[in-house]
Amino acid sequence: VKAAFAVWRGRVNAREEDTALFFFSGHGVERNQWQGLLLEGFDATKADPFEDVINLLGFKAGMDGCLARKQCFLVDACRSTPPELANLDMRSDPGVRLIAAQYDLPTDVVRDVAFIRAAGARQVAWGVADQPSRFTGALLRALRGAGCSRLDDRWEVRTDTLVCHLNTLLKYESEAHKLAVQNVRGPGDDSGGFVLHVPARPLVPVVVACVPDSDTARARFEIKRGGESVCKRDALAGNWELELVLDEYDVFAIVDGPPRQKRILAHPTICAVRL
Amino acid sequence: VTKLKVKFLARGVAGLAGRVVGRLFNRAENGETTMRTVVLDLRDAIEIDVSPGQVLLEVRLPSGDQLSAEKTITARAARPSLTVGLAATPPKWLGLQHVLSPPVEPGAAAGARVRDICVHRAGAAPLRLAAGGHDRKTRDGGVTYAVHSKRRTTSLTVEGYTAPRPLVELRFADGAREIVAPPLPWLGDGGEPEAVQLISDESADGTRADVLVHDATFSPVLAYYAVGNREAARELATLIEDRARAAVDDAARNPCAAVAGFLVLRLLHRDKQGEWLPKLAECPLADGAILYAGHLLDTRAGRSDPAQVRRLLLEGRRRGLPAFAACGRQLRTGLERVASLAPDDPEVAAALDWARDLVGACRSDTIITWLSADDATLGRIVPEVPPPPE
Repeated sequence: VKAAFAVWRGRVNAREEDTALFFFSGHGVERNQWQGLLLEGFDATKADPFEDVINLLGFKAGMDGCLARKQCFLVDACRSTPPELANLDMRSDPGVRLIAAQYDLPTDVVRDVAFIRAAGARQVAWGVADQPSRFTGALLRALRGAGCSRLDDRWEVRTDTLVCHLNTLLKYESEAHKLAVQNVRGPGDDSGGFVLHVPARPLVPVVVACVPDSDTARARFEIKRGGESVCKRDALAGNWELELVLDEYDVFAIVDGPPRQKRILAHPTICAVRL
Repeated sequence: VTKLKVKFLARGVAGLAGRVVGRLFNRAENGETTMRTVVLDLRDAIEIDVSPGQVLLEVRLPSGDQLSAEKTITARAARPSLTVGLAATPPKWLGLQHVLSPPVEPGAAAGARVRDICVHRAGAAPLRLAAGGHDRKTRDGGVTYAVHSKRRTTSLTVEGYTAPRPLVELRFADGAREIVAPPLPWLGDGGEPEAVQLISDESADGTRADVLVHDATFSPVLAYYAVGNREAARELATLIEDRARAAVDDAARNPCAAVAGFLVLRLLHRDKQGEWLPKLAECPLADGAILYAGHLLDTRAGRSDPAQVRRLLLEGRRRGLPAFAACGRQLRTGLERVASLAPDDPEVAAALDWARDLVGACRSDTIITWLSADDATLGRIVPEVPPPPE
């Protein structure tokens, strides 16, 4: 990790206008405001277990010494203290910082930090077997388009609005699929907000269902844009979950009797339509 | 164009004041769709110009909950109106909290209940308030302390407080203690003290902490800020920029609001402008000196005088607990940077040890300094609040 960090640091220490992107998905432990990221080889029974732990806040503070003035930390890790680590003493602010805080900075441009964590205080960031974790899954959807905000005529994923979109995605997932609550937290004290990504064709999650719910499994659905059919679904159990390019659509459901129809604007975060 | 009257409805919630942010989609009869941000007043209906056609209003509360309402408006409609509202009626004393903060998730492994509360004031005997059982009010020196308990939630509301900042100690049924540096006193727009409410919820993850200032101007901005909805916080911040500047100008008399004012101006990227920044250092709270030191550390000119940065940070340490958790983090980072210049400076080393203890003990679920640690650590951070006698 130290060797990889040295290479990465070289890249993000080149120009002020660059963006440094740090993404971690793995095990984490937190007590109050100390959070550690556990690296491969971590062993709580070792003489110094913290030699395989990144001190997250210390690392983030030290990164102020890097020239890239836009920095985004996406941390997909638990913020709880598992019982087997309850005896570890974090009071001395332990762990590897990778880069020490320096008095002087290489520039006068104030750093803009988006510090986005996958879970609220003392919460678990949930994994999913053989799939990206829930946070990472939501992050990927957000970057595809669900996390877009509109500035003038452009849709872009911004660090200061991303947290809201991620929470909406995770909240929908929790309610629709009866999963545990997971709250994304951020963007931190030093966040002004900057553009992280501009998807060429933003894709918006769309959920189609019937009223009453029992009609959903019997319904045949079709979505049209400008009179042209875009996609269809035959009668199946569960809501129809799909992604559509940001635009206006007509949604049809045929259950009994005449087709039910609704015009929707598929826009971020999620567009839910009930017919 | 038609005037659409939009109202936020919160049945049964008394005294609800503030603003929330929403998005209004308007699909006109000619097929053109527009989207704009709207700010709703929780007390009064507002009027918005819309084109006849479909209107969809989505309001995102600080809790993360999203309310929506839609309506078809015809050109002939005389006085169209649209209402969004809360589904449930919260307890009267939790009205604002219910709207502005995330509800507690019920869970089996709930944290311990607050057993009693002790308010520590400079130059006065500690004031002990019992929690649990039934609601009660205590009046002391013109200040009202109201304790409410319901199921998993305990709340302390302090009204009429104008003395120097107290510390509030929560004592739990399992023997644990937590210490809060509440943003008191907090003077509102007219200079009158606003109520400040501390809330402790038993939740699946232990206890959840929340602090609310009943200041209809600042509170919604801080609520959106605390949960990371910077878009909404910034939208509201633009509406209170003048109040934020006035609050910073009044730092000596109204320090907590001054620090909040600084956070608002920072949201708007106005924190580097004006000659008022040194006024922050006049704020009698630690926060003022720390934020001003942070401002100096941000610029080459400011860094050129490390003695002044050092002096401000040590002054911040001397003033005790910062009101805002972010200032504790900034104190630690600032001292680490100063220590890198002078590793053998004993005053800086001692202050850094204290700041590390402070940040390590500070809960991360509220923007206010709220300490949760063992007695030994609390004793190092706030020796003025000794553990209760056995």
